[in-house]
Parts: sequence; structure tokens; C-alpha cells
Amino acid sequence: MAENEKKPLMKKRDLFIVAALLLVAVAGMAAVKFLSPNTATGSAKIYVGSYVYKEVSLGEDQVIEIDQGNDIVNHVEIKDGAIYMSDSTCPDQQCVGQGEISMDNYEQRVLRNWIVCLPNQVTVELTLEDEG
Amino acid sequence: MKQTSSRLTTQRMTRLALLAAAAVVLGYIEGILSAFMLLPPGIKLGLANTVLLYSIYLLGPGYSVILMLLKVILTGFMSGNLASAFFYSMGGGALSLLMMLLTRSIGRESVSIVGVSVVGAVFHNVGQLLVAALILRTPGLMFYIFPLMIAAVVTGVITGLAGRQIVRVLRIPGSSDPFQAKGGEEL
Repeated sequence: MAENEKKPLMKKRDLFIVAALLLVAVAGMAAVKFLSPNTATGSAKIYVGSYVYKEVSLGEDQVIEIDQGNDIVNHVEIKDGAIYMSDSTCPDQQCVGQGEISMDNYEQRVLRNWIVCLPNQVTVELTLEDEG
Repeated sequence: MKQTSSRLTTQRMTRLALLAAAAVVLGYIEGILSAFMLLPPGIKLGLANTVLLYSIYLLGPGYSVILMLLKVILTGFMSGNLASAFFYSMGGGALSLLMMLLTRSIGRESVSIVGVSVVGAVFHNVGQLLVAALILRTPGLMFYIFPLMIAAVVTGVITGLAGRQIVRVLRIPGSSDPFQAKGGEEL
């Protein structure tokens, strides 16, 4: 009959693991929020791999084409002070779905000041600086 | 005797093939689902991990490593750009499996399949992000591990509970086939 006893879904040690991991995550997010540079400079860097492909100002509306050959093309667009991936030849289209970064919204975004296209290795970083 | 062992081998091979196929299909369906739901990158339910949980608990570490490799290689072939997809899923899959096996062997009696699943989910993300940061050489992206961890804890609990039910249903307690079950072990 012991088999029919209602068992808890998790053991104590499971809960400990869950709590420890959540604690690390929350502490890490707080550290990122308070320790990382907190002022947007109004410019952004577009990387291909680890190389800066172009540095752009959010004040200037434009479309930047990043053509890596072999049908790997991304378009980054700047419009009304916001930068976003307007299209990409990557299969998952995650980067397009990540939306725009502006001077005001980067602290609320999950990916903060970044747009990442992993398959095409194109990243956009809104440049941040420490105040003063 | 010889016949029995060769029959077993075929059986094992078929079961491994089946499990690998299940893992690949679950991963594929999930990929479509998360693209459809526009979840932030890297966040997914991790349904394929239920297959690995099954193999960790019923087949042991050796077969689990083979399964993980099969899943990573097959998923790599299915995606358009073999190289990068392969490295991301290898980074995630290998670190995740290693940590799950460690958690299971260290935690023996005190950690259940749910704890193992949570550790696997979190370290899958850690592994993938490490590989991404290595390939892109942008350490600035590592901050993303923290929001990913929160999501992974939640999805890890869900897939762990699902994995427990799957192992319960599919195991055959007292079976003489060592490949089938290790008796009525607590999950």
C-alpha cells in the first residue's frame, strides 16, 4: 500500500537546487543592472563575428546591409532613434523577432543592449558608457 | 547464449534509434513552436531532455552519451548551417549531460529526477551561451545567462515531472533484460 502514498513532487534537495540556482540568477541580474555602464551613448556597433563591421549613430535614419557572401545577408535599420534587424537570411529569424533597441528601452529588454543573430554571427550592440 | 546476446544487441540498437528519433523530433517541433511564440532566444521547454532523462535512469551513462551525440549530429544535419548549429547544440548537450550524470551520482538518494532535470536545463543554456560567446568572441553577452537560468529552472521542473511519468510508465520492474529497467528504483 505504501506505493499508493502520495509522494511530494520534489525532494528537499531538489528544492535546494532550485532555490540556489534562482538565487544565483537573481543576484546576477541585479549585479548586471547595477554594475554595468548605465548611459547610452547614442551610437551602436554592428559586429560580424568579433569584428566591428560598422559604428553607427542612432540619430541618423539609415539601412545598413551586411552581406557576407554565400547568400548570408542581414539588414539593420535605424529609424526614429531605434535600431533593429529588419531582415535576415538566417533560418530561425530570432534576430528579427528581438525587436528594436532605443536609448530608452534597453534596460527593459531581455537581451538589454544587444540584438543577436547567431546563425549569421551578426550582433548589434548599443554602446553604453559609465556616467561621468 | 550467442543468439540471445545478438538479439539483445539488435534490440538495443533499435531502441537507441527510436529514442534518438524521438529526441530529434521533439527538438524539431519545439524549435517551430518557440519560433512561432517569439520567445526570447535560447528559451525553450526542452522536451527532448525527457528522452535523455529516460536513458540516464534506465539505460545508464554510456547509452546516454551515445544518444546525446546522435541527437546533436542528427539535429546538425537537419539545420541549414551545419557547423554553427552543431557547436551550439554540442556545447549545450555535452555540458548538460555531464552535469546531469554528476548530479545523479552525487545526489543518489536525495536528489530526484526533477533535480537532475533542472540541473540539465540550466547547464544546457550555460553550455550553449559559452559556445556562442566563444564563437562570436563577445564576452559582453554572458550577462544573458542569468535571465536564461530563471527560464531554465522553470522548464527544467516541468520536463523533470514529465520525465518521471515517462520513466514510470516505460520501465518494466524486475525485467531480466538489463537494458529495460533497474527494478523499481525511486525517481
